[in-house]
Amino acid sequence: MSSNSLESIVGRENVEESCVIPGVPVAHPVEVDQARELFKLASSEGQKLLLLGKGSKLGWSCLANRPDFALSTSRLSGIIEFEPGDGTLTALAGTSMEELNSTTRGAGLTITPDVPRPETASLGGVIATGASGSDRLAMGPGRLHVLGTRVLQPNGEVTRSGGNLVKNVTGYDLMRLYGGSFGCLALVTEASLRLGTVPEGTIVLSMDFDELETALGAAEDVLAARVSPRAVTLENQLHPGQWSLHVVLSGRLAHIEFELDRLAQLLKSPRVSRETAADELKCRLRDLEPDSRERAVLHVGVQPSRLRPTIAALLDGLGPSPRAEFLLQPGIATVDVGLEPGSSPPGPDTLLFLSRTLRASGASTTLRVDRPMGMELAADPDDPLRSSLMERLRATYDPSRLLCTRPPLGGLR
Amino acid sequence: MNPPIVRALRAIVGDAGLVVDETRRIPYECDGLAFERQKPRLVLLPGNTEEALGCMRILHEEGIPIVARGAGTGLTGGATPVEGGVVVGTARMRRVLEINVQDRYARAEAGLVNLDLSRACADDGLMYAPDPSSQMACTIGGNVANNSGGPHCFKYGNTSRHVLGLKIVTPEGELLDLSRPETDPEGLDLVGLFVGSEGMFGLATEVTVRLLPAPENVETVLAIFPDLDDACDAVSEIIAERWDPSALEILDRLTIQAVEASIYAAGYPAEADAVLLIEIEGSRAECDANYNGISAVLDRHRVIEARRAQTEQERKKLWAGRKGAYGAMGRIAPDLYVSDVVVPRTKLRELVRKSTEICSEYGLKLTNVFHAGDGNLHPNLSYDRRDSDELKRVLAAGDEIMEAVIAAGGTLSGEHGVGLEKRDQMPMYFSQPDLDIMLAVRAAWDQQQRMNPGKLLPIRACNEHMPFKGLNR
Ligand SMILES: Cc1cc2nc3c(=O)[nH]c(=O)nc-3n(C[C@H](O)[C@H](O)[C@H](O)COP(=O)(O)OP(=O)(O)OC[C@H]3O[C@@H](n4cnc5c(N)ncnc54)[C@H](O)[C@@H]3O)c2cc1C
Repeated sequence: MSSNSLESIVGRENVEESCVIPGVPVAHPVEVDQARELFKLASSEGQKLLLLGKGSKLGWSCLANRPDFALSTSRLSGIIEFEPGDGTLTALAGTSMEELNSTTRGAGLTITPDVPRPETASLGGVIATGASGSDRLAMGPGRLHVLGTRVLQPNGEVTRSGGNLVKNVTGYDLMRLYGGSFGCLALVTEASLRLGTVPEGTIVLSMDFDELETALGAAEDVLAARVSPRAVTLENQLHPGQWSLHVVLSGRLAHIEFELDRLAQLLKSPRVSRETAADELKCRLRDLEPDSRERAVLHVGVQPSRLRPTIAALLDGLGPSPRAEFLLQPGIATVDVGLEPGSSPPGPDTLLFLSRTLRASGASTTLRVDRPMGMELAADPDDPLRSSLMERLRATYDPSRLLCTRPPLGGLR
Repeated sequence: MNPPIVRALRAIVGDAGLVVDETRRIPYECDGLAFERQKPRLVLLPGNTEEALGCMRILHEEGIPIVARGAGTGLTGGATPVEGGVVVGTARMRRVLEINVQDRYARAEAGLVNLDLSRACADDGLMYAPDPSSQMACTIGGNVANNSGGPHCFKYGNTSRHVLGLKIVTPEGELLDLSRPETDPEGLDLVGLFVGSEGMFGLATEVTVRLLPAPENVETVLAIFPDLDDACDAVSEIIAERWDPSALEILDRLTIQAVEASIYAAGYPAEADAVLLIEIEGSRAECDANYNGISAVLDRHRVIEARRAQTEQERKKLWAGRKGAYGAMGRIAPDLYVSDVVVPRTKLRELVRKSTEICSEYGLKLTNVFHAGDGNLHPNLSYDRRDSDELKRVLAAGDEIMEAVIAAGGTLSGEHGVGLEKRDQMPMYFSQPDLDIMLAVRAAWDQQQRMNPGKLLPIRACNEHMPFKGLNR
């Protein structure tokens, strides 16, 4: 794709050469009409288009074809409506999660998901990747907080689903379809979110363990106790025999003190961080979440009862003393394995083998790296009926295959 | 119905699963939208997923339209049969298949009654959160299809937030197994999309839902107001101040009177203009903090009294009044048109007033009992369906209320769905391209559009067979 054609639509200052993928120019429309023109251009010239937010999670997606150019929403940004009294917010897709947070925080409201490095993540990108955050245990998956979306379809129509109210069942929930669709259906241009409440306070309890098994047992005890932590995290920073358990309590002050008392009886002398220290620790924990720009991350999700065999299978599959950092969230049963920066991730064969082994134990696996993956790592067979329905849905939106990401069907993507 | 087809179907479901007899088909003619009726050609009640697959395959081969049915408590005509169509009901699929305490989920057949699921997991200290007021009768499958809500959905969200997996029999009679509970959906979120599809994508035969730990303490407060406006404003302020009750339900004067005169009498004071039922859950500290904060708001809004239920029995009684309110309204008139709209929570008072004005202009009896915390209003119009003029006025008033709601930034439905009732009002809320993409998505699931045709999506010429002309407005 010549940059000239893109510049004629969005202006020279809004075209970048080869930013995220070598040789693939990126157009940054500043209004939806320009995005529509870019769709038209791709369609008339039979070109493949990659949809992007800020580009930070590109390595989570899977490319069916090499794109001719990319369309980023990063300059389609701004808050459209913020209704503190109703606890809702509507913003353009390119708005950074940090901007959303800072807008709502002043009114005592929060955004879910609480993603790592919110300044690098756009609202549309968070929706398209189906991302959840460190608040998932307390707030649930991020996708459930999306009240409505506006999308630009490959045929140039802008369509809306849901709305901006906290309760609404009018029409099909198409926004659920866009959540986690990795830009294979349409461009999310705008979304409305349900907001949560900024907690009065936060306390983090931390303990160290020599063995994973004891650490996991302690985490399970916390989860079984009558407390409602915001996060329960086990981390291991490249030291095989050293696991730290962090329990984040947040909410009304009286309530978290009450929960602290309860947990103090359960855990033996935990370190307690309060106020600034607690906030700093909470942020650090959030930042331990996978960052595709620094390292390859295997993200594994499973049912809690299968967590132990899944970890065992993972350790087995990665071989003796892997240069890897583990982040476990036993409450939501996810395991993130950060493969040390600089160390090469295991090859495709190992990953596929690992993925299949984990799948057999009921887990799903995603590899998140710093570049989009090709088809070769996404070869796991899926239920044919399910796959063909997904294909039909994809063809409904994009019959001429303008968009070059593909539905992330089972297995590694 | 062609005898060989009936024979083939009987061979699958047996006599217990087939309703052929004309009089026995009468109860299936409508759902809670009693003035829309259509006799089904046949009613099939498969006993399990296998039988449902067999039936759906035959109906597919014969090109027969299908309407899925749970308990028929829907209020929008969603389960009203279509002309020439067959009803496939889930009344014989009521088993709880699994309660997984460690992973906190339950698997149940779609015909299981909502309340039975909560009962089944109560001994394990778990609960299923969505609690429609019809929970003693409505089914989990119907809840999934309508993305149903209920009083506690203020805190926990509608059904969609609780469904983890589904087994779906496709319109072609194939099994789409999405029942493995996944941390995040693999690929497109088909389960999320199916919830709220109002029986137009397929027949759900099995549902996997998230269970939550039952709260440690639950407290119910009855706040009594001299004026409905005050009750509405108190709710808006509780939300704006970010207090954290689990339910906020308002009942107005006429509803209170109907409830108190019925078997659901809950001790609501007959002289009040409105009562607000507030539920608070959590640790002792959480309950106390919320109670104190909410009490201060109530005081600012002229509350006459805020009674904290002292015993579990008293608490249950307060709720029985709320949940029995619709039943109690039978005392006002034989029929009830239950409207269901949502308004921004900052505009509760304005829209409640507006609906009162509209109904008094039409000379109709309006009662309000609603999920105030979500801004989910239920202006209920009592009428007698034998009085055609009154029915016309009811529908006209319903339309006007809807227009006012939309103009105030509200939406057509918060929990009952669109069905037949609001189908023709969809263009008030959605543009034609919005509706076109919904129609296209529907066609991806149901290529022949035989599942519940004529519901939810307004019919454009030639788009599909038109079994209903729409409501008799
Ligand atoms: C007194 C009363 C109080 C109510 N209170 C509430 C309330 O608080 N909140 C609320 O949300 N609703 C409420 N409702 C409405 C109603 O109960 C709900 O919509 C309920 O979910 C319907 O369930 P059902 O089993 O009766 O479904 P039905 O009425 O039989 O069907 C409803 C829709 O679901 C489809 N369907 C049913 N089963 C399946 C299946 N297995 N697979 C696919 N599609 C299926 C049908 O085709 C139809 O479109 C109330 C109704 C009454 C009468």
